[in-house]
Amino acid sequence: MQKIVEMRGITKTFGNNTANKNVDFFCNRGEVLCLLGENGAGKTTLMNILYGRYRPDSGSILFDGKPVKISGPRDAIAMGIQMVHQHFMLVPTLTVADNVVLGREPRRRGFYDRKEAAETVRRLSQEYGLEVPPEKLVGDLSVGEQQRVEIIKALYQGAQLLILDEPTAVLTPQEVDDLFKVVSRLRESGKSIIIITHKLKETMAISDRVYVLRQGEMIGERNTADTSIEELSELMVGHKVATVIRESMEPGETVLEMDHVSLKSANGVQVLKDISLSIREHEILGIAGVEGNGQMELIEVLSALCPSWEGEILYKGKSMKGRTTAELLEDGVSCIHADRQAYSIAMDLEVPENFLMGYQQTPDYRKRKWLVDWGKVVDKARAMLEHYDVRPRDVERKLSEFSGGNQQKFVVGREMQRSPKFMIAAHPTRGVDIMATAFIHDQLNRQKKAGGCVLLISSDLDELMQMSDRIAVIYDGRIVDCRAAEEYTTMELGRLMGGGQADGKA
Amino acid sequence: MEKLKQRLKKVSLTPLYSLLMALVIGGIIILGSGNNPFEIYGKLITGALGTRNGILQTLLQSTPLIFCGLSVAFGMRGGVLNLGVEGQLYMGALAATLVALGGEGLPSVVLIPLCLVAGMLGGAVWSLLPIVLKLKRGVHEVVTALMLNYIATLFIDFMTNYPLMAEGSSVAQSETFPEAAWLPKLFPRSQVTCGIFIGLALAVILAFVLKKTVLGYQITLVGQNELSAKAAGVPVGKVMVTTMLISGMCAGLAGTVEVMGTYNRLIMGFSPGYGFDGIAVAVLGSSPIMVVFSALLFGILRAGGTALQFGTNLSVKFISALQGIIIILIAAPALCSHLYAAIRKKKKTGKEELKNG
Repeated sequence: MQKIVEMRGITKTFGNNTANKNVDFFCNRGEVLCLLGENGAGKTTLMNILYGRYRPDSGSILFDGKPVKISGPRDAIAMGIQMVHQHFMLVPTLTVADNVVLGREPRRRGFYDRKEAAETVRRLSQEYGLEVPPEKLVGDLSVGEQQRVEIIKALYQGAQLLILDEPTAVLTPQEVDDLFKVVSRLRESGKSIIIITHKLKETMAISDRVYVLRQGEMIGERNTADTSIEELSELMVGHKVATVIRESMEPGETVLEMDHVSLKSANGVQVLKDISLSIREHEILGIAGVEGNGQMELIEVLSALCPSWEGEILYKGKSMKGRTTAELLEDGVSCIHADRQAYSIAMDLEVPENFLMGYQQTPDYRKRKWLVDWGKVVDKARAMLEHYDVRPRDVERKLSEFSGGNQQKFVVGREMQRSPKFMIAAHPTRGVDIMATAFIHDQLNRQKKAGGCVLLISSDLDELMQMSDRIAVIYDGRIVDCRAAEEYTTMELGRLMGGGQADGKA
Repeated sequence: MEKLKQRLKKVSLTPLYSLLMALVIGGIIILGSGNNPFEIYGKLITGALGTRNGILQTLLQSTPLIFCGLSVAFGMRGGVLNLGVEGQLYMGALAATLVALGGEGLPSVVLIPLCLVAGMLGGAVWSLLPIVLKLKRGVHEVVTALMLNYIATLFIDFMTNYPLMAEGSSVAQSETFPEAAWLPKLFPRSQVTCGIFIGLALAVILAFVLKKTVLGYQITLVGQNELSAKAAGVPVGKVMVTTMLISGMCAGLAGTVEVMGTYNRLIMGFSPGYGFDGIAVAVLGSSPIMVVFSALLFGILRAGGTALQFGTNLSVKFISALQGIIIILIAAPALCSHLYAAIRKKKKTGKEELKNG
C-alpha cells in the first residue's frame, strides 16, 4: 500500500504542556484510520498540525513520500487534506449548495451559477450516499445532515485525505450507521479517512488500523483485525477499568412529580409539551434524547431558572411554582448544568470563589451573617479537590487554568458535597476521561444509595443504559416513552430519539 | 513573606507595560514637536512632585478622580457599566449644596456628615433610573446614563443661574456655604482638604466589601458570569441595583467633596469631566486599592501638565493625548501582552542560542 501522508517525530508544546511528544504516524491510501485516545491525549492537536492550524515545534511531514511544509490550512487543502471539525463551520442562513461551493463558486458569464452548484452537490451526494437536499437552508438541517454537508464540502474541494474530529459525538445511532456507510464508500473510492475518537466500539466497527495516543505520546499501533476492545482500552487508559453496573434498589417515596408541564419559549415556540414524570428516592431516571429536544428547557424549569411554565411540579410534596433557585438549592436540589462554563463556574475566579457558588446563603460559610468565612471555604475547597481528585490540587488557581475534564470534576464534586435530595445531572461525564467517568458514575450511584434521586440527562446511550433505573425518551419537547431501562434496546432508544416508533407499535 | 511574593506574582503587570509604552509613544510625539522627551518628562514630574505646590496640586487633582474611579471600578466589578458618573457627581453636589445652605447654624459635626449623606443619596438616586430601565425594559444602561449626564449638567446650570444664584454675583454660582459645612483644609494656602482621606477610606471600605462580604461575593459573581450567578441562586437583579447604587454614591461623593472642600459653593460646570476621567482611572486601576494609585497617576499628569504650559511650547492638550494613549493601550491589553510575550520569547531564544552556541 502507498502512504499518502507520514508524520515523523512530531513534538508540540503549549506553554508547559506537551501536547505531542515525538509522535510518528502514517496513513495509507484508501485506508480508514482511527486515532484513539482520551480527552487531552493530543489527538486533535496532532491532526491540527497535519491540517496546518498549528506548526510543530519539531518533526517533519511527508506527503506522497515528499517532505512538505504546511504553514496553514490553505496549504493542506491544496494537497487534498480536509478536516471536519467537531463544531461545524457552516453558514446557517445559506443553502446547502451555497455552503458547499462557498469560496469556489461555479461561474457562468462571471455570475454565480446556482444551478450548477446544486447539480454538483446532488452528484456528490449520490456518489457517496450522502443524502441532503441541496436547496435547503443549513440552519434547518439536523446535526447529522449538517455533518454530511461538511463532508460534501470537503469532497467538493478535492479531499484525498479526510480527517473527522469526533464525528459520532452528536449523532443518533442510526446516523452513526449512515456515517459509517459513507466512510466505507469513501474508502472504496480510494480516499483515506482519519477518525479522531475515544469510542472503542466504533473504532472496532469501522477502522482498518488504529493508533493509540496517551498523554501526547504514541502508545501503540494495531491492525483492527488483530486487536480487541479490551486491549485498546488498556492501551488508552494504561490499566483496566471496571464499568459501573446499575444497582437496582427498592425505590422509596416520590421526590419529584411533574404533572402536565408545558413551556413556551420567549419567541412563542412550544418547547416542552405536556410532560409528566416522577422520580422516587433511590432512583436514577435517565432522559434520552438528541440535543435540542427540550432537555435544556427541562433543566431550566426544574432548577427554577425559567419560571414561566404551566402545569404542576411537586418537589417533596410542595409546589415549585414561584420558588427561586436559591430556595431550591437550600431545599436539596442540585444541578450539574450541561454547559459548565456558562452555568456552573466563573472562569476568571479562583477555586474558593467557585466552590462557594450556590453555598453563599448557607450559614456554615458565613461569619456574623454578612461576611464570608473564607478560611473555612478554602479548607473545604481543598478537601473537595482532594476527595474528587481534581488536578492540580491548587486552590489559588483560576478555574480557567484547569482542563475541561477537571473543571467538570470540580463541578460534580461541588454539587455532590451538597448531598442533594434531587440531583439534575446533565451530561455529567462530557469531556471527561474514562477513569473520571467511572468515578462520576460511582458518585451518582452513591447519591442514589444515600436516599437521593438523580435525573440523568445524556446523549450517551451507553451511559444511560448503564446508570438509569428507568429511561424516558424526549423528542420535540415531548416524553415519547418511559420504561425500565432493561426493557429498551439501544437500537430502539435510538429510533425513539429520532422520532420513530417503539418496537411492537405500528 | 512567601505569601506576599506569591500574591505579587499574581498582580497583572499589563497596566505597567501599557504605561511604559504610552510614555514611549508620547516621547515620539514630543520629538515630533521639536522637544527633548526626557526634558519634557522631567519637567512634568518636577512640576507635579518637585515642589510643595506641585504636590498639593497633584493631591487636589487626584481627589475627585479617586471617587470617580472607585465609582466606575465598583460598577465594573459587578458587570454594570456606569458611564453616568458625571451626572451623578453633579446631582450629589446639588443635594449636598441644598443641605449645606439649608443647614445654616448647625455645628460642623452634624452638618458635614449630613451633607456627605445627602451627596451620596443624590448620586445614588440619579444612578437608579438607568439600572431600573435596564432590568425592567432592557434599555442599555450606558445610553440612559450618558443622556442623564446632559440633563444633570444642564440642570446644575439652571440651578446656579436662577434659583441658587448668589445675590449680586456675576458668575453662575451659589452662595458660599456656611463655614460649618466646609471640609477642613489640610495645609495653609492650599485647597487640599480632608476629602482625600474620605476617598482613601472609601477605597478601603469598598475593597473590604468586595473581598470579605457575602454581598461583595455576589457582586463579583454577577460581574463574572451572570448566568452562573443566577444558577447559584444569586438574585441577579437586586445585586445589580445595589452595585449601581453604591457606584452612584461614590460619584455623588465626588461632587460633594468638591463643593464642600475645594470651592465651598456650587459653581456651574465645576467638573472638567472628572466623571469621564473616572472611566480611565478605573480601567487602569480596576480594584479599589489600585484605583487610588491610578488616580494619583492621573493627578500627576494633570498637575504636571499645567506646569508644562509654562516654559515649554507644548499645550496642556498633550497631557490629554498622553492619557488617551494610555487608555487605548490598556483597553487593548491583548496588544501589550502580545508585544511583551514576543519580547520575552526573543530574550529566551536569545539566551538559549547563547547556551547552545
